[in-house]
Amino acid sequence: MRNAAPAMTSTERDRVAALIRECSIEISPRDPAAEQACRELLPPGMSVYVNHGPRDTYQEIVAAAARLRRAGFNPVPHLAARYLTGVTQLNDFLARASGEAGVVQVLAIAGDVSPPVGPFAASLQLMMSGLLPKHGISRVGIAGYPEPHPSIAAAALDEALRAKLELGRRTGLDISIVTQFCFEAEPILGWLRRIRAQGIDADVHVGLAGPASVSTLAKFAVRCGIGHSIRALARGHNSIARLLAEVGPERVMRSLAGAAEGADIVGLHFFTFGGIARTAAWLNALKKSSGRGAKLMEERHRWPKEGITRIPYWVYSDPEIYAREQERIFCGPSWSYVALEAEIPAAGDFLRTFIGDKSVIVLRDQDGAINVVENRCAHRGVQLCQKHLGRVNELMCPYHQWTYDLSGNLIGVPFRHGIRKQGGMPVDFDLREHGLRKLKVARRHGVVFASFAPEVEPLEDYLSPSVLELFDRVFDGRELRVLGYSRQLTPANWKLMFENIKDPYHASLLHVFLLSFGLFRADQPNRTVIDPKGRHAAGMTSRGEQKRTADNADMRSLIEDLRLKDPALLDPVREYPEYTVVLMTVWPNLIIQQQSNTLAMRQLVTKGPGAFELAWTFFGYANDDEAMTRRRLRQANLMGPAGFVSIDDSEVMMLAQRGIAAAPEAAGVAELGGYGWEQEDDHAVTESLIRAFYDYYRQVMDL
Amino acid sequence: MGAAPAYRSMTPQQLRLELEELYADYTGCLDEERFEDWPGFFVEKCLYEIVPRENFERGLPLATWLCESKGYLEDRVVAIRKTSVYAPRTIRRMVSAIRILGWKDELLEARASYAAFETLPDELTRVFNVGQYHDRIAVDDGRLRFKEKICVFDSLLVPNSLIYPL
Repeated sequence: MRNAAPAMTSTERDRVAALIRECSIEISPRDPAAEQACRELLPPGMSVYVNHGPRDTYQEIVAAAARLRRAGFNPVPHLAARYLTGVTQLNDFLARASGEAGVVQVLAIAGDVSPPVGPFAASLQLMMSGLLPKHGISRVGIAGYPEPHPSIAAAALDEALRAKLELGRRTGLDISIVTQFCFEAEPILGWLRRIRAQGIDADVHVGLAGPASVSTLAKFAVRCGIGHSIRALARGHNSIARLLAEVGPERVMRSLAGAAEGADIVGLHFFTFGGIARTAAWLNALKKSSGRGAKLMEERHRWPKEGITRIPYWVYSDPEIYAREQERIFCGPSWSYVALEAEIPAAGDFLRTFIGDKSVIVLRDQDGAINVVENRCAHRGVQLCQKHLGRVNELMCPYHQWTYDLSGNLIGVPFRHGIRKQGGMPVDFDLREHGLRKLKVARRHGVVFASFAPEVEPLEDYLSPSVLELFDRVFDGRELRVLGYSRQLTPANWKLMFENIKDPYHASLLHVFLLSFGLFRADQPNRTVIDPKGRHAAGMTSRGEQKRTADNADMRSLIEDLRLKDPALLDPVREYPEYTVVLMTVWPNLIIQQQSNTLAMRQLVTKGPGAFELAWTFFGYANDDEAMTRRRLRQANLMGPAGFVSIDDSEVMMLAQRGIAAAPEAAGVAELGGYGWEQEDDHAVTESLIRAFYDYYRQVMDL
Repeated sequence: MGAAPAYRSMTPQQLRLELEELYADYTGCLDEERFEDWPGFFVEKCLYEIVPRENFERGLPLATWLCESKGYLEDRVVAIRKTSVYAPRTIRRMVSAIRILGWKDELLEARASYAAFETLPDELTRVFNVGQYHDRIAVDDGRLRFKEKICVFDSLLVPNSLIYPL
């Protein structure tokens, strides 16, 4: 099921690590979201190229470069010859880039317009103007074309390259080559052999496309005239499903790292067609997995050779694994449950909750929109909000009273202009650059999800059709009513909670109450559903009888004469079609419970490797009658920290953690029902949901 | 009968002593795990709840633990003894700051602070649950019995499982 390439050799790994250490990326000058992603995700000091597109002005490029400089990056503006009106404008551009943004490096290109706007047709003319060194710009990148240029012959390109390098030598400019992006290594390596043979010895940065869907890449490839490479894409991903899938440049990078000519490449330059955030997240993950620390970690954390039928116990207790989970799972491209809309019905209503370790605030603004922001002041990191629920007009930090609107935008900074003209923020302090960290939000039928990763797919796609159908079974669009909360702190790793729900088998053995009354038992009709990636799942069943049969002979705990003194607890009314119980798990923090008439969201909040909080929000529908509400409240006794049934689970998880934490060298066995997993099954005597979970977990965690 | 008027005519000091004795008997029964005797502290048609303050103060109806009759209390005892699976533990309860609010509709209304400490195998004793009893007490068959006992607890988080009554 997994489609992983063979592991890298240590030499390849070191080369890849060296290549990405020296990498740069490119953004548009008019993309605040991209700049924000840079600030949040990329290391300071990195070179960020500012693209000059047909609709961009040089003033906009300078302004973007200045913002990047203030954020700690090395801004590298494109200097596009054909867009410039003349020497005066070139002079102004360079003076301002240097003066306002501290630019020391540019990428000199011809520019994509014909005929030219002014007197410059080629980048060589800009370099000949003598203006670059005058403004302190000593490093100049020029374009290299490993693949045939759509309109210029290879020999002419090589000649132009030589001319520029020669000019650079004469004028003292430090010239390096940045190549057009490619999808395969062979044209790059061939081109390198060719120019090196001609004595061209400039530093080379290879252009690659950051992760993006194949269809996005194909669109840009056609636009940029990259004819040959796109065939490689099609070869590598020959089914329709793969065409829609995401492609990263790992394959090309490994080929470059493995080839002798590749040793000559100084660094990589990423074109972020699939979004800056996606490239940045991928890059960060790669840096971690190829660094020295990662190597040590991998030796200690080697998954058992049996694969997903074994779960090594270090995943439940190791702080490094926990840190990686926070980064890749909870802050990665996942949708975390944060609230029900019914909890914050009016403008200004807020709710404070957690995604993994991070505290977030869910706010409803004046337009009825729901915004989710990180609960951390952009100034000095103070938690803004301590209450669970409330109503506000704005958010104000208690420390220095920085004030934010209900979307998380910074709207006020005391003493911004100083006192009596003394102190205060610099004149170019821009409120827009200092908002709260905003999360992406998705809502469906009254349920609110949020994600730290802007590149996350739409919620409906994320859930997949089979899981979405079950989600809509409970959340059918009716208005919800919150009945109350229960919260418990369980001294066990968070994944044990998911495993518990993804294990329909234990219910027939552990839960005397459940199985005696036939509420959930393996000898009743059962069905399991898993999404195509293995990350979400649902188990469902119909109520059976309190009776011993040949099929439940193994269930030693079944008590045939167990009777309730007050039978009101188990007086369910049929509410949904077909199954009486559906328990769903939604990656990475939600369990949706429909057990007869008791409905609850169980939200998982991690509290270190050895503990998690389970926050239960019990609810019904706004149009429930009093009898139905009473029924839901009574049946809630089955669940929660004091639940007739769920006590068994919280206790067993505590005991599991005690056993597991002391034996990181050992592994759990999950072979019931086979070795793999299917998207659908019609029995409960299986651990396939657990195997599917770890199949996906291993991919995300790179384990 | 005839004992009922005796409670009604007691001085506050006498009544306080009666209540202290009631709470001592009640917590003693639970601390010593004589759970079968626990329903006997309630009248037949009773209400027993353990509720996080979060729900109580906002008027949200959900209780973490709900018993709407004496039969329901007995069902909980069966769960503790027969059906629930849990690690062995000791819970000790302390009651203080008893306040008598007065008689209303033949019921004595009282508040008291409680604290419950939990001791698990291999662990130090920890504070398990702290809150306030909101009690309405009836004179039933010549003795005081709970008509309504709502345990409103302060921390929103229950340390794992709530198995024994408070």
